[in-house]
Amino acid sequence: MTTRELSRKPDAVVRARPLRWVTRGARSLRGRKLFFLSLFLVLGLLFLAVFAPLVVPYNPLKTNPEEQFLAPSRVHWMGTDQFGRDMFARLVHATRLDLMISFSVVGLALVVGSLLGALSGYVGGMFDDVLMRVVDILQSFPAFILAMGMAAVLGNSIGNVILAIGVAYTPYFVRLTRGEMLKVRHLEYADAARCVGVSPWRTLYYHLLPNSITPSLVQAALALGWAMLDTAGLAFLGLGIRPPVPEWGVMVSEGAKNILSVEWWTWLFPGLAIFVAVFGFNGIADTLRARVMREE
Amino acid sequence: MDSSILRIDGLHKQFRLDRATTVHAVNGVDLDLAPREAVGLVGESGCGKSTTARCIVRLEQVTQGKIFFLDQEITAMSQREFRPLRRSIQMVFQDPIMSLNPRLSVRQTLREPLLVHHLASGHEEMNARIEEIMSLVNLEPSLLNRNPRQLSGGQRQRVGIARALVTRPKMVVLDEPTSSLDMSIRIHVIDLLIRLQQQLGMAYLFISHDLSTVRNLCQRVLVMYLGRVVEMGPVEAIFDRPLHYYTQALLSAIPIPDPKTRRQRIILKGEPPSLTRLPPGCGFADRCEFAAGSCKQEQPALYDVGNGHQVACRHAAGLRS
Amino acid sequence: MAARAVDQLARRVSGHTSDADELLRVEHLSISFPAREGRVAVVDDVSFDVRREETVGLVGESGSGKTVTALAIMRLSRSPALVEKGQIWFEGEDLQAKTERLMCQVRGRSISMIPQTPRSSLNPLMRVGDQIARPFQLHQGMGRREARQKAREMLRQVGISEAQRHMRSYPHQLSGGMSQRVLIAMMVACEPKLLIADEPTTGLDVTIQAQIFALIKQVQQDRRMAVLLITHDLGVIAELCQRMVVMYAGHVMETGTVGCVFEKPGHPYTRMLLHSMLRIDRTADVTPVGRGIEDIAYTMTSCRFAPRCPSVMDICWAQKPAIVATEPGHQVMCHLYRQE
Repeated sequence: MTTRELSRKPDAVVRARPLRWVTRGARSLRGRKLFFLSLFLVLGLLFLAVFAPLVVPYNPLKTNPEEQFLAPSRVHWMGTDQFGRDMFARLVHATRLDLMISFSVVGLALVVGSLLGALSGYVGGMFDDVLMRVVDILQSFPAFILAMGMAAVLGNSIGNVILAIGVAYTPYFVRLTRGEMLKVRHLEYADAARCVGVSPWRTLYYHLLPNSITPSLVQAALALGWAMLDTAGLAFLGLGIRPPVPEWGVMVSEGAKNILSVEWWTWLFPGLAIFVAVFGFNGIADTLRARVMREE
Repeated sequence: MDSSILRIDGLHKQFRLDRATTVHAVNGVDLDLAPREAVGLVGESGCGKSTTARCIVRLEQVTQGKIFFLDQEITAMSQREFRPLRRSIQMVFQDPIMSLNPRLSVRQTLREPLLVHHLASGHEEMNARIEEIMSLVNLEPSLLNRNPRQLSGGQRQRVGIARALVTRPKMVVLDEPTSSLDMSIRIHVIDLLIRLQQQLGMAYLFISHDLSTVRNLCQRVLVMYLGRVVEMGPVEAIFDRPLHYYTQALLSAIPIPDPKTRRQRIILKGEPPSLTRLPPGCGFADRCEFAAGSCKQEQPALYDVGNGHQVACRHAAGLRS
Repeated sequence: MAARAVDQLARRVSGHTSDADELLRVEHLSISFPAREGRVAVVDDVSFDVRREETVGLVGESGSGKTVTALAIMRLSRSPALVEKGQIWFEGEDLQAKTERLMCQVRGRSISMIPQTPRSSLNPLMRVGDQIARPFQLHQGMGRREARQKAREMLRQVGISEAQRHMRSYPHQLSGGMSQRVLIAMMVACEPKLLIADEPTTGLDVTIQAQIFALIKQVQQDRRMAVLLITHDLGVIAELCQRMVVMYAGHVMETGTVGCVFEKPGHPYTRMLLHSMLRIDRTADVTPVGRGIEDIAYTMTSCRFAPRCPSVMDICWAQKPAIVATEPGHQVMCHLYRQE
């Protein structure tokens, strides 16, 4: 092989540019716009969550009976609620809580679910059978009902909410990862790893797990949105987060009492906040899914 | 034979599909491989050659029979006991796309065998060994950081070969290493394999349905049909003077790129019987021109016709039935 | 008009027989595909012909454009492939000019194609017998019962024993070899004049391959069909074909009778192909040459084999060679030759 031949070989070199990976080859410009919009929204929310106290001058918990139900103005951007608390301040502080819960829930479900699912698919046998029956039982309840039941039993605290919804979501990740593992287990590189002398655990951890987790990751992005809705739903029903803690679901629940009267700002803004967050998460999830499908 | 590096005694492998069906993939295979020897295992799909290979590297559990590697009975070992030996028996797989982990770079793929068998102390030695093997298989070091997806078919297969050789094994099992490759690439890989064997002195067990590759690479050949060896011997003997009717048909089926040679081509009738219902006698009897009554009742043994050439057929061996 | 007359004269001079013998003529066919730099001519100015009852081999490595050409003949090219220019004459009619409706009458009845993978060409939800009966119903207007009878007859003709049983089978119940036989039965049912076989034995065992080729030969003789056999295997060409067309990166490099091309290969690529084949009758001097068609070849307007050619000259990079007849009926496109 002469050096002349080598230099002429037109091998494709893929340079990894992080966001480009997602949108490269996107079939429509619309898809790309959607991604960046969603990303912008989510990042914006994250920013608000992190820098909440710096952004808002008002204390979200401070009640001010004289100032109740003030319409949005330059002083109070989103008005005040029935206790005179600044809506905007509450909204922004709620971002922290809601995002934290969503990420925790999905984090819990993803990690526990994927590990269990991967193990189950790899090991098979009795362990797999038993786990699948447990998953079946859990999945026979709609996720929200299950979360409701658990929150009612466990009690109303942030930790319990995360646990309740997290457990309700775990079966989905178990199933997804197990399914991929069953596929991947028989691929030649798994055999090749065994031939090389890799121990079964190392094969599972280094080779098979990373390759079976992709659908779960895509689902996780979607689940962030669902978790947001479920948290708000629980709070609305009086389970989980309770007032005066600022949380979008709580705020919607409080504002819902005013739905027919004049004080539209008490329910509209929290509702919009939920909408924006879920929209952002779903947009990212959608793009990820499209990207993964394109790769296949 | 104590000079053989691999010895297979009476290998049987069955797969149980469900309560009613058992696939009899390998039905009594004996094989000897000497150091530095290249032996070909040929046959068509379903003949059991791949399963035999997988049994040798213990990707499958043997149903019956013994396999000896370097005089140690590997079939009696547990997976854990066998693992250190894997350094000396390696395998090259058929599909270069599927046999490389898509998430690992070439460097990571090549590093793993060294890591697992503790063959390199420290980064420098590891990189040195990796670069050495890359140059042996004619791959530029710049490819080390690439993913399999970014390589061509021939390059991927060479990575697979490099991975098998990085531990300097004494024996390599190659399961159809060129079947997925394009014609022009195939020759490169064969040429590489020949050179590597000369340079590194390993034994090859080369599994293929492509007889022309086997002719150019191997010194001995075993022809398999329905899980059994029907003929074996030195490569010239098998290719120039095939005795078993199946071997003759196999060879005659391959078109020769020369319009002037007119051959009498043997066209076999029908298709091989199912592996779930093995006929009692010679598995080839229902397609064989020369089948006699006893052929269908009794399974023929391998008859020696001299010079290391054996054939599992009374008629072919010139004996009376 | 005048152009055609000159054309006919030229053919007579170069050894072609009369027009009446000619069945298919591909003329200056160019097909493009989208690439990063715009559209790229994957098939560029390809011309060849097939006469009645003859077997022509279209040979080249993967990426040479053989399948794309075959699909274009059947007017089955789909985007992203685009036929940029060229004509395809079949029995004197330009297939490119026909409407889709008229083409449907051509396919299956006058020209048939056996693709590479029989499995994916058979409808998995339809029984085999019904699938073979379809062409009879479609092109010959037969009733259901009569068509099924004919289908059974076809199964027997292609060597499937127990025809009755297999009439009711589904494609996934058949082996690779049998699926290919069924496909052949389907495709020759209405006795087309031209059969295009695109690597019909890919993935099949060697002894089954022999059976399939024997079947194609038999079917051809019985029905007096012409066959355009696409393959990368020179052995198959040597055995089955009378004439051959060698393609590389979308260009036709050499055409001629099989005897002439094998004995006196003109083009360096053909020589390379012939010398680099592994053979079973002797151990070849295995000298690897070239590594497959490079991507850059498809954008070249000069000779596309230049990057790999052992006899390359400066002019090869600059200009596309003219087609030269090195002997009657044997044409090569290479700068090494000049029309005397």
